[in-house]
Amino acid sequence: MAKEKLFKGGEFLITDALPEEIFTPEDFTSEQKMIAQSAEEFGQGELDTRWEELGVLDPDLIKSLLKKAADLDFLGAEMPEIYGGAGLDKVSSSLITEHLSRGTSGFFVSYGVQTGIGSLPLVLFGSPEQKKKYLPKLASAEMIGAYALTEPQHGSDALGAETTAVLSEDGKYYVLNGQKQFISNAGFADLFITYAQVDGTQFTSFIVERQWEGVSVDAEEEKMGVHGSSTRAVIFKDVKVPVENVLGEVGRGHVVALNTLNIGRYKLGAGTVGGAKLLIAEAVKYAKGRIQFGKPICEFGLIKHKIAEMVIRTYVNESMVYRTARLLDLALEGIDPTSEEAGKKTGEALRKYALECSINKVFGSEMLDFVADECVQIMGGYGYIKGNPVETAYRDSRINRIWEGTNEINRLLIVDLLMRAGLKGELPLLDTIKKLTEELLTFRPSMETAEGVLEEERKMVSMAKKIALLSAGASVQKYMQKLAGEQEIVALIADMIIEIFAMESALLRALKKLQKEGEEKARIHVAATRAYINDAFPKVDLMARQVFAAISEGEELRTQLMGLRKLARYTPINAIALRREIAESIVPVARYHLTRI
Amino acid sequence: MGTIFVIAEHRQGELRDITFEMLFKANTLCKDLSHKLTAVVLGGDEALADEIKKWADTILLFEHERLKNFDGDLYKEVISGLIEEYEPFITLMGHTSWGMDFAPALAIKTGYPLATDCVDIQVEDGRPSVIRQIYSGKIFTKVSFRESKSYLITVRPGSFTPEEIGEQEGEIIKKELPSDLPEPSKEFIGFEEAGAGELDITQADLLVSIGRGVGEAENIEVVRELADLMGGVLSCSRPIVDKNWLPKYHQVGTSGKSVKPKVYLAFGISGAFQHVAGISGAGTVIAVNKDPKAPIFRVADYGVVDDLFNVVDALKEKLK
Amino acid sequence: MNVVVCVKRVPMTQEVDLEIDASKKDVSKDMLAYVLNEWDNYAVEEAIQIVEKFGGAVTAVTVGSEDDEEVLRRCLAMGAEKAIRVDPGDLSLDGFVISKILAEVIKGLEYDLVLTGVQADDDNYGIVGSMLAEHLGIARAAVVNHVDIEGDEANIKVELEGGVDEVLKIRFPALLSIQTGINEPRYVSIMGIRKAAKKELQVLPVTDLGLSEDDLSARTVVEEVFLPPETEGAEIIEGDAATVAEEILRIMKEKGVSV
Repeated sequence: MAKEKLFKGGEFLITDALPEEIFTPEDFTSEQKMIAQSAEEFGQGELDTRWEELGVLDPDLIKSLLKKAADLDFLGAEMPEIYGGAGLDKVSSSLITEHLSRGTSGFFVSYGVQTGIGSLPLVLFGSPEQKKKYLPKLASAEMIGAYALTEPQHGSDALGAETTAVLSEDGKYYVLNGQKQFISNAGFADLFITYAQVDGTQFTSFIVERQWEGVSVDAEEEKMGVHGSSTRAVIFKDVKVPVENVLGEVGRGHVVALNTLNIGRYKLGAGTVGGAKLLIAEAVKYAKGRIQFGKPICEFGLIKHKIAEMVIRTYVNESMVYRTARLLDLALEGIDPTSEEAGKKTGEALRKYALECSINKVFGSEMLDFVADECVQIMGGYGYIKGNPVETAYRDSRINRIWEGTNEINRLLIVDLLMRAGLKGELPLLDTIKKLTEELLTFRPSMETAEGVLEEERKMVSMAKKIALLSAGASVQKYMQKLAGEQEIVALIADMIIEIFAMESALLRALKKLQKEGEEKARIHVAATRAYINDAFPKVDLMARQVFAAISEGEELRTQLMGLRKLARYTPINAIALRREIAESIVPVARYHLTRI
Repeated sequence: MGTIFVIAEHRQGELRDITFEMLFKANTLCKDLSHKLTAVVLGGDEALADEIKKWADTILLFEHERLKNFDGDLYKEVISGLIEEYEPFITLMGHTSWGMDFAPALAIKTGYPLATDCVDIQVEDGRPSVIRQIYSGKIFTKVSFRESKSYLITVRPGSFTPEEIGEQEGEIIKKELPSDLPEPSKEFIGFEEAGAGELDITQADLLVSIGRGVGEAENIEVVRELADLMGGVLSCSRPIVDKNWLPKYHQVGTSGKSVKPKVYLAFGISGAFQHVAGISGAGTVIAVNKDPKAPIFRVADYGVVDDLFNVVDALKEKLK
Repeated sequence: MNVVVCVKRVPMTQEVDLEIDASKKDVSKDMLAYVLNEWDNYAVEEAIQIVEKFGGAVTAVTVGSEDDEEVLRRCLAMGAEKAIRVDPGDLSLDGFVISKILAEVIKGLEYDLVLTGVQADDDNYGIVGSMLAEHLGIARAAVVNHVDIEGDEANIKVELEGGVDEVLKIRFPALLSIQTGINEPRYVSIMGIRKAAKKELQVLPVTDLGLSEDDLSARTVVEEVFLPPETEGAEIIEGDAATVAEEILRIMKEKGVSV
């Protein structure tokens, strides 16, 4: 791993990384694999066996399982060791999340909150006293955490919260009043990380204990999915919160809120990988056993196509998540977890990769929806019947596009973050776009197909970046500061960026495997990568055209489209054959087989 | 003319089925090879040896207080002595808990090659080879031996079905134990019915399982009687537990137990995937259901399309 | 009380359609995941519970390639103190050779008890434990589902066919082959994994053991492997109830369940 490189957030868009510069699931260390195996065993032994029970809210069961998970150090995985945690790296903790996210909503929601948004704000922004007081209890499941940000009138617009905090006359406590909505774990949480406006304008984070007077919860919500989890409104009525329980600084609650969500977002991607792998196994097992027209349906082309596509997208998601996790680890290297500044430094380091975190969130949630949907489709009527885990997964999956910032908000954020990085000079965006525009005038696309495995795809990914940058550049030029108001265009640009990160992560992973293990062993990685890029590349081209058609007309549009045509040239491949090959390789083993732990 | 040895297995005064299965196979081999069949009975008495007479040419019978219960060390000592004396071409032993105890030790002591858990035996050009199942029976394998004077084989119980063969009148030869026997390394205390009082369906070799098709709570007893007659354990699918007809620990499936019996008899179980997932480890699934389209037939090895009680009654009739 | 436990890494084949590889002497393992052999997992747990109760240390031993160290690290993470891997190079291994190698290694260790699993999930021989005991010249018992230690002996139960246990007293040093279900194997904790990284994992080339050529030559040879005859869904048993009942009983017997 000598050549591993710490790329800047968003840098992937302007730099073509080399395979050896990024981390892939083939690079898991033996310790990381063991941690993954341990979580997988726990999942199989304690969660899969309670699928039905965990599909109905049972706080005692949830708490006992969290306790068991705590005994294996899963809950404190990301907390510093001095506070009872395991101080694990992000790759390891993502592996735990992946393998514990398995269709049992009673567990994965409570676990996700406990280890993510319910405790990370403390890890990142808590004072040493706050950490000492609460983290060991959260790590051991003695306390259950919750994150109370959303309000009835403020979802995506969370910073406009109406909950108020008024400092008492003696200056010893704040009095909180307000209501929070859709709070996961609320029914049995002991600790809430919440937010309120101090003096009406200073958005501030607070740590609130459930047992304090004035804290109450409303009835359980009846939800579309994740029925095993608790979701309630939390009401604060004249709650006295000691000033020691202000989290971070007064008026800097947005820093706590946004950084917390960042981590939550990339972690969500790790969870969707886990969920998808289980669904793939279910689908393949079913397709092998279901006989129609005298043969198992897994032998039919359209079913093969579905199975292969589920595998491909999971593979891509997985490649993105662990690439990102390792980037975060590299960014965090050298921070002493025991130092007072650790939290702040960690937050700053992580903020730089907010763009990648959002990409993982959007891609992962949409990937899992797709996989769950196709899994239902493969099972036909059986997949539509209650009691089939796939029917549950289909409904459970839907929440992922809503929570941790809707996918729409995240798409806007991706472009916003990129633009800011450009403006601040963190990324040489404008220079790159300018150079590109000049190049394009004399650019003559090669008419030959590149020689060598994945060489053509490598070229396509590189071209896709140019296409996205040109569309982004033209859009900025047209709307300047007002680009954010053109949400449809922003979302198209975001989608191009997402596809680029997806394509490139898959490509680099397959190349790395190819270089290390040879063509035969990398066969399915290569096939999945080629099939994915073959589909995604023309999508990027189409999105660019839509952008140009919206922002330009006449001669300008004609010139832009001509330039685009030069970049978007590609020869389609036989992706049908590739998908058949992928499906046929997974059917015998009946489980996702591109990663070995 | 060579000899084939069969080491008889008996417990509490009764020969185990494996003994006859081995005798049957050994007989076939002896016929093909013009060998003589010698049965070895350690412990037991003449009555026990008599039962084997018609299957063997010779019965070597050792009666001794120390052989009353199984003692792997003595088996090893005595049989290795016999092998030196008689030089059998093949020695067959059961692949049972006791066979697994003494056969490998015997192989080391004698220096002869051993293949265990064999489901078939062939002899080609004077060399035996065996068929075994690996990966829990998913794959078969043919295994040969390093060339040797004598070969040792343990046989998986149930691999051969002993059929009636011509009446032989084997000669019973009473043998004496050698005088310099080793001190016993184990002390026999007794036999115990396993898991009496507490039911663990995951450890059962035979599960007699019921589902919704059983209809009413009272009907369960009818099937329970069959399970008892068969020496199997009663298990069930989820609807039975949901209705409180049986306690939870009987339940097979994703939210119950995953089981791995050698044989799983599914009566009136439709085969919902939650249930089927729990029996993926079962050796053989035999399903009885009225509905020919019941999904259980997709996963079962054998199916009977009939009312379960017809089959249950017929089975009881046969067993009584 | 020092316990040596012998372990093996095996491919996970549940729900997998195995395919024969090009040599026709093994299955194709490229796409398979590997785990600690299930029986061995129980043996390791038993060993650890014993030393937790009576003191002493557990040493885990395997014969295998570098990839197989994965299961040794798991043993260390579960609580073993030390692990030894004997690298067999390109020797062809059978139960005899493996038992010979294990014996040579274990002879040099201090132990009261040696535990193995009853059998390995891949080749299902169930042969190594008893052979090993014989090489070591110690008492042995196969298919043990209960161990209760008192001083330098133990009351054990041997699981016999037909739901009967044989209760025995065995004196140490002894070798027990452990049956599944004897205990509840623990999950591996992250701290356990962390600690494992600092424990000793010794690698011995088989050539260092001073075994003779004969000691290292296999007694059995796999000639070929093949798939069992194919079946499509359930084979429907036809006939009246009596015929059906007879057939069911025949099948049960064939599958090793005598009633």
